[in-house]
Amino acid sequence: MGSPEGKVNLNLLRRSIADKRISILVYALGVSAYAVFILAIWPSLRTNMETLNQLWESYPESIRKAFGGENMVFATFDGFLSVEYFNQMWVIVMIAFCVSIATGAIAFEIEKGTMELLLAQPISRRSILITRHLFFELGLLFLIAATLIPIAVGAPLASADLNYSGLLAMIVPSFLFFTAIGSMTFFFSSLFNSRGVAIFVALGIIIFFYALDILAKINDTISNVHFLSLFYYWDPYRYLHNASFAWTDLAVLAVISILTTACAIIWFERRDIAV
Amino acid sequence: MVDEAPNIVCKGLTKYYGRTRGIEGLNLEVGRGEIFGFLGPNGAGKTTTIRMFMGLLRPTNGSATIMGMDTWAKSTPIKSHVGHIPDDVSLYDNLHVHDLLEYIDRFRPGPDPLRGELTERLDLDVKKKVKSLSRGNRQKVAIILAMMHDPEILILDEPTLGLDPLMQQEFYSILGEFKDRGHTVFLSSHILSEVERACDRVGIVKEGRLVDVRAIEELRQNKIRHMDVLFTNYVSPDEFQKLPHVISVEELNSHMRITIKGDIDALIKQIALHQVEDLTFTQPSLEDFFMSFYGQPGGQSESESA
Repeated sequence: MGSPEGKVNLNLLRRSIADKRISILVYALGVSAYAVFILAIWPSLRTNMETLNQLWESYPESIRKAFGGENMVFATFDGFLSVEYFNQMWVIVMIAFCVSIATGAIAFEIEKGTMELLLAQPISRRSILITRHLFFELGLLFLIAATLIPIAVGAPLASADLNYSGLLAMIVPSFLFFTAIGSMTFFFSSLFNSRGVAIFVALGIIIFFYALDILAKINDTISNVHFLSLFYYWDPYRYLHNASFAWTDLAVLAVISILTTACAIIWFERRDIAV
Repeated sequence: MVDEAPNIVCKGLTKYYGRTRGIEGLNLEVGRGEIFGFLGPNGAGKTTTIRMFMGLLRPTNGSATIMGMDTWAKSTPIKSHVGHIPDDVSLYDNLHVHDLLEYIDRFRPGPDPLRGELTERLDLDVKKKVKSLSRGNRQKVAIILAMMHDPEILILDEPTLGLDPLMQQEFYSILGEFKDRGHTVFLSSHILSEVERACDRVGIVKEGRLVDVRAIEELRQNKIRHMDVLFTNYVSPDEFQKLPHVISVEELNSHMRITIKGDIDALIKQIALHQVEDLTFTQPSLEDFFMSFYGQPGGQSESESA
């Protein structure tokens, strides 16, 4: 039994897990299956490593910057994994998870009217948001594990030259990057009465960040505002290949997460609940 | 009626949605062990008031307290003492009724004392999925969710919506037992007969303002009703016209329509002197009610509007 004000409510947490377990398992299956797919095609690709590298090098510098960094060696497993998975499909699936869970946590319940039932119980709005946020973060950790564990286990089977410290170095930045995206979406979820509007606004901003990231990489004139994009702080090749990350990037992601969550709580506590 | 510190107090409670009026300047006290009806047409501000009681809406001005606690600032601790049925019941459709009751139960310490009894009395199948329930059965679930922890205060918004007459009867009986245990009930409705049946006092709200608060007995004595009587033989309307409380007598085809305000005893005795084939005694509509009390459908008394 969570305390009424501002603490995690275990009853709500258990219910949230029970309600979303199938959905989270489907996401987990998806990210695992795609990781297995990447591992499965790697043995045939690595035999053409030189051709792959030449292909990558033949791309304009701007394209290489945009999709992995100009210094990346594409024809390594780290490089291939970064470009083909952690900079593309994985990001899309994880963002879909973040937006789905965060908008379902508040805006959907307000829109559907079930928030009124929840708030008729001795549980504070702050407690609802914090509990749902914790649930989101647990789900996030589960999906990160569902992605990285199959890669760790499958890499030797696929004769992939995996840097295991790099894989470990993925965990914290991945968690913070998607927590920042989820926290921002929690804010929109607490702001609007409609889940559709919350999704629209959140995805609009994420797409704007992505576009800004790409444009800033290929266009020097706007590179000075690159830091405004969340994707500026996402560099999977560096994590995988160098087994390192920039602490300042992590700090920025953590601050964004804390600030947007605080704004979500403050707004949710002060707003009228009426559809 | 209010013999101790009142359980619900409103002082100048006002809510505006931008420029749109919800409720304005509501002053009200509801005592312990009282069933208070909040009567008014749709759009009068009843649901807005209840949503402020439940801490869902922040008052624009004024305040409401429940058990001495501000409904906005102390919304969470208040909920330990309150049960609520909203006007538009929304439930978790993916759950079975049993799981939903269990889930809501766990928000409060200890098992809810009335869950089993209420489920049985309202004849609810808890094995069904919520999404498969009819409108009436969803309302039963809402009633059980609101009452199963035996709250000291019930805040009910149109609670009998969708219930069949038998279940309504059972519901009123359960409400009576709550009152007998000294609990307070605030019941909003636009159905006069519902308020008359269940409540001790009634607050009449119209266009966002509380226009009157009366004891239910006073309400009964003052409301206008129509009696349609079909006599076997011709009976002159004149003999009813002169009776006390009779306002008018009209001959409509073969029927006689007698309009009466207040005590019907003399009228019934006069009718009983004749052979009667049919008799209907209709409850007044809310508009009739406002007409009888205030002389105009707007709900303001003649003295107020003058």
